[in-house]
Amino acid sequence: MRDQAKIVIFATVVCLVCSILLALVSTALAPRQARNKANDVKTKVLQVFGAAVTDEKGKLCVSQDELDALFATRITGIVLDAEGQLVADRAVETLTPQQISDRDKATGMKAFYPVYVYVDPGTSEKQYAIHVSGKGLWSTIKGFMALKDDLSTIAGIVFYEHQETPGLGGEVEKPYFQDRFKGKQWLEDGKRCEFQITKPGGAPNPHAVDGITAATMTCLGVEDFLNADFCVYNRYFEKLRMQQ
Amino acid sequence: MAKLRKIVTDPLADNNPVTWQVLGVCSALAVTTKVSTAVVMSLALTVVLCCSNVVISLLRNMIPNKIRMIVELCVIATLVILADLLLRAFVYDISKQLSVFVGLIITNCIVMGRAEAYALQNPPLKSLLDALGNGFGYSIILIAVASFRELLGSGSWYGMTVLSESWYTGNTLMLLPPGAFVIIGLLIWFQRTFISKTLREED
Repeated sequence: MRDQAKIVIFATVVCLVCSILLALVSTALAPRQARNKANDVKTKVLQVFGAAVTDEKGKLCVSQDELDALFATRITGIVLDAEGQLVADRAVETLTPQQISDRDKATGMKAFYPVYVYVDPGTSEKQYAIHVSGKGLWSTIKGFMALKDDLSTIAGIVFYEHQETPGLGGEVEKPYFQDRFKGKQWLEDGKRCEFQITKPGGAPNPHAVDGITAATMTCLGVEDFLNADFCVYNRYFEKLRMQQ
Repeated sequence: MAKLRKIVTDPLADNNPVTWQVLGVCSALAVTTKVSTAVVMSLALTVVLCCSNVVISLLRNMIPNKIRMIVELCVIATLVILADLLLRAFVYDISKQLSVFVGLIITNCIVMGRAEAYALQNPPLKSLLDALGNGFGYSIILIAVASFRELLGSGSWYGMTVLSESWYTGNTLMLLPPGAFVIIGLLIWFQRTFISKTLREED
């Protein structure tokens, strides 16, 4: 009996000490981690527009202040709702990661759809980056896709968060895969096309890219959410194209 | 003194956790495409191993035998989560590359193995030395494998270009997990044939 009591007490004390320690450290480091994450998103947005903020190895080569300044001067954000309508009273900075990534169970829609507009300092040409995210094989993959002035040509794509298997599905984060999207088209004769990620070595097609060998499920997931998300953004883009 | 030194040096070669006991191979395959990730992983594992060995060793007379493994796991898990939190706060880029593998330190057999086999029976100082030895032993192999893979696969070492792209084409096999299998296999063969004394004595 005394032995059992000792075991229970010992176990309780160990659990308490461990959990209190973890709770303290995690609370203390939370702001730092949040800032790292926010910086990462900013970097990725600038990167997808082709702004030179990282060196060839993907390391940040500007200071924190420069990054903030670049982001503030060159980029404006707009927020769309699930119908593709402009939400005038929300700023992109106020959106939480859940609001732009979690899908409603019934409708499959997200609460808000942010668009980042970038004005090239040289040519003063506009580019648009849309937030794309959805299920891969194991996890939610999140990224940005940049579109050229015509709102159809893909200027670039980056994925900034995922938990796919490194070396297989995790390859979506690699430049060689992301480069395949550049120059591809969403529209044909002004109509939206289903974008496809095909088996590697498929026929060249302006609306399809080669997938990653051994990561079929991840690629299918990416294909699905790219199409679902673009569909929403396209309603807004249609209006923009009319004005052009 | 000589005895204490042996605790540290033994796991470096003769009783190396990776090439001799073949523990911790999962991470040795996974994080060795670049030297920089291998170095961080080695450091993280060594730190976690040292802390867990010392903590377990301090508690060794109090831990009830029936729940000793659960307590070991609890201590190790706490330390690993701590390491992960610290990495994410201070070296965010590297923590992204290591992603799931930091969490996998929990299941790294070396940590649990040393706690169970050594720290439970020995005082803190010896346990610390044992942890250092095993951590370094793991690090040597990890960095050796990563050096080969990065050099042959990407033509660079620790991010510095060694073999110029103009005449050297990276060997993609080295960047894939099978490449690590081949290299670890060769290292195990090399060690058992040329370095390890234990085996020669048995012959």
